[in-house]
Amino acid sequence: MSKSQARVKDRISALPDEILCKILSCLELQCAVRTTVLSPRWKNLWTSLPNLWFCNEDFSDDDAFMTFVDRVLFFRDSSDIKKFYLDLEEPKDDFSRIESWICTAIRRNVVELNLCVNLYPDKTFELPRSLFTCKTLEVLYLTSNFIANPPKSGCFPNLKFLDVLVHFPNHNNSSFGQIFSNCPVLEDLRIYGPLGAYDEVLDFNISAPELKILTIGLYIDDFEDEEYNFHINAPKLEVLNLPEGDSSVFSFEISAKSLVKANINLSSCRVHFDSTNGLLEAISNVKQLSLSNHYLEGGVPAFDNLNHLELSLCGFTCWRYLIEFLKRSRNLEYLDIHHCKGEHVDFTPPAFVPVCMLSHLKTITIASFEGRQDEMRVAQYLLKYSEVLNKMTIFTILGLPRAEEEALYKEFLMFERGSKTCQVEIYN
Amino acid sequence: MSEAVMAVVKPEMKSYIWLQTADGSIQQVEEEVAMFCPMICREILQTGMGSSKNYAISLPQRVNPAVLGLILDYCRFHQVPGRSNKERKTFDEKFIRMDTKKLCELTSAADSLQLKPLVDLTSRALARIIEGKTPEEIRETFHLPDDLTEEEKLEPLRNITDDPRIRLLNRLYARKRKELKEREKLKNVEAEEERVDQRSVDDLLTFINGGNGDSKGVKTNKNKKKNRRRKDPPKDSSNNVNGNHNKESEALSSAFHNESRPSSSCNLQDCTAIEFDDGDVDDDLDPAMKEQLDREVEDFARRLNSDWPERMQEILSLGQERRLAPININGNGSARRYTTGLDQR
Repeated sequence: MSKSQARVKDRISALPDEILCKILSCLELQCAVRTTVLSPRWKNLWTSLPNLWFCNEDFSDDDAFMTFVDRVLFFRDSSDIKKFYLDLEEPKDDFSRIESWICTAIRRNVVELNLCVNLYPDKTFELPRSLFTCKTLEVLYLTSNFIANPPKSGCFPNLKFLDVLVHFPNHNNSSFGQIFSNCPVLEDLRIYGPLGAYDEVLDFNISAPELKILTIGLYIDDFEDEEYNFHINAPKLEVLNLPEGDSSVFSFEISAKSLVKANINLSSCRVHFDSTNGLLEAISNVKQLSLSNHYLEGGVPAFDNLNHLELSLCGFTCWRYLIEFLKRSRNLEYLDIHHCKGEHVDFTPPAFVPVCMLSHLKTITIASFEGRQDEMRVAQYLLKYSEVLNKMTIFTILGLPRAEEEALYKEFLMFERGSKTCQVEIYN
Repeated sequence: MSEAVMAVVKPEMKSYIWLQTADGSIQQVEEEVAMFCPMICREILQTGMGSSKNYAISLPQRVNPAVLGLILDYCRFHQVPGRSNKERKTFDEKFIRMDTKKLCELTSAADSLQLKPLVDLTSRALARIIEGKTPEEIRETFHLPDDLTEEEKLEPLRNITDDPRIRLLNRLYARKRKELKEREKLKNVEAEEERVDQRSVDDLLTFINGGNGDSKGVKTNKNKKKNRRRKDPPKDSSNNVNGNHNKESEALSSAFHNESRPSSSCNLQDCTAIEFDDGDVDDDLDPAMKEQLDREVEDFARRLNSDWPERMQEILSLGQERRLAPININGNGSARRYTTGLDQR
């Protein structure tokens, strides 16, 4: 085939550089680099790919992997690196090399950096200093057993998103917690991880003047009597997420007047009760609350702004807590109840109908409904006394026989309704 | 005029946009469908074109009628607001099933109309086609031109990766073999014949180099080039292996054949790095240079024989890093390792 003939048929090379780069960016990096030999047109296309993802498990041996990373970084052109992902599973001890890669990315004005360096437990890895002072970094994911020595000032000047998965924090290095106390423009902070058995008190100092979303998913791998103190200074915090179940003693010091939404899942039986109530107190002005706690005790503070409530209840206090919340949430409009499978718990209707049911409560959803007598009584009570209710939706548990479902439906039809406009729907 | 009248008479009639493709043919399309393309949308809003046949919007050259049909099908589906994500995804998956030729045309056309979602869709589809294929297979699928120049046609060994270093080596070997033969012949035959032989090689080379066949001229070039392709460590323990050359070249060729699949990325990276052109050939008329050439060739062969991927990469990196020394070689151990000996020269 003559050259001119060949060119006529080669349509893909006729596409503009941008599109070829777009195509290359959909490929795995090794594959993209391979295109360098296709023809002179393709020779240097890969060198300006802005997003680099390196995973050592794609390679049969560490040496080949490390050489590949070296080569890519070396032969790449001088355009900026936008995203740099390093996924290392128990890499060889060549940390200076890893560090040089990170430094290269930083030098190339990286915007998003994901360092997932899973080391053996007894090894640690020190983050390069330039990471903390990088002016272009906006998103950082850290998964590692690392040592951090951030500078006292000028730290993370542009970092808006920080996600840290901690393995075995090293107590010899008290500056671990300092990462969180020096983030001037941070808006979203997530801290996850299993905490090991340390007979000490761990203090987390979180100080972030612009922080809007905070997620703390720390859980204890080993049941010991640790205490974890969170001092949270985040005056603009809007959302608080505590998604993990097995928590030990959390003491929160948080001033959260700006808090709009909280999502709290403390379903371990080891929750320290005072702590929970202290927490509820601290978040009492949220508009939206999702609370999952199996053994709530104590009182419920006034939730004057609460508009949307999701409760996941268990245990013998469940209905009492439901009523407590209803009583304390004057402006509640949306109620979602998950009731975990269990035994009958007596339901005692309160002496006075909670205020929200009279004037605000419009939507009720009940999930995992079995049709037990106590559940029916609760649903009946809610239907009877909610005067502005628009809709009640019941989701029965999976596998409920059709016949039972229909019987349920019939029974609900008989219930008295406090609101003229109320509809009841039952789904499986 | 008639369209306007009709519009008044039957207000519920849809409005259409007129589009003209590069081949001159004009078609009309429902307005909401056409407006889904940013480029068309802009044309309509800014210039007011498209409302009648005479004022049809001229589409970019890359949009031919067939591919326009495809694009309009895409737009017609996606511009309907109520569709679920799942529906859209299913449509896209079916839509994208076409041969690579059409896919490339579609990408090009969608790009010229600035229809980004479609460009993304087709790019991903093209990526899926490229994924997992060897460069050979990719070239075949997309009919990429085989860009080997005439020089390479002299090559005795297969050079799948198109590596200029390998090409150089091949030439050195060809030269070497020729010289060996000539040295033997020298004992029996007149110098003239030798010259003739050499000249023919020269002729080829000068044809390539584009210079005169003058040995001096070539020599100068050679000196410069020698510096460029200077390789690493100095005194190696390789004996004079004149006799062994053929064996080595065979071993080499088998190494090449084994490495015909550029699966190791380090191999290919190095290709990217090499900038010097095919004119970089030594013309060994000077005996002293010949010796040097022998040594270097033997050294090269030895390395290639011993550990193909690692050696190649080392050698190539040496050449490269020497030239780009100022950039990037910080104090990490790996860079150091590759630069030993260079500084001594």
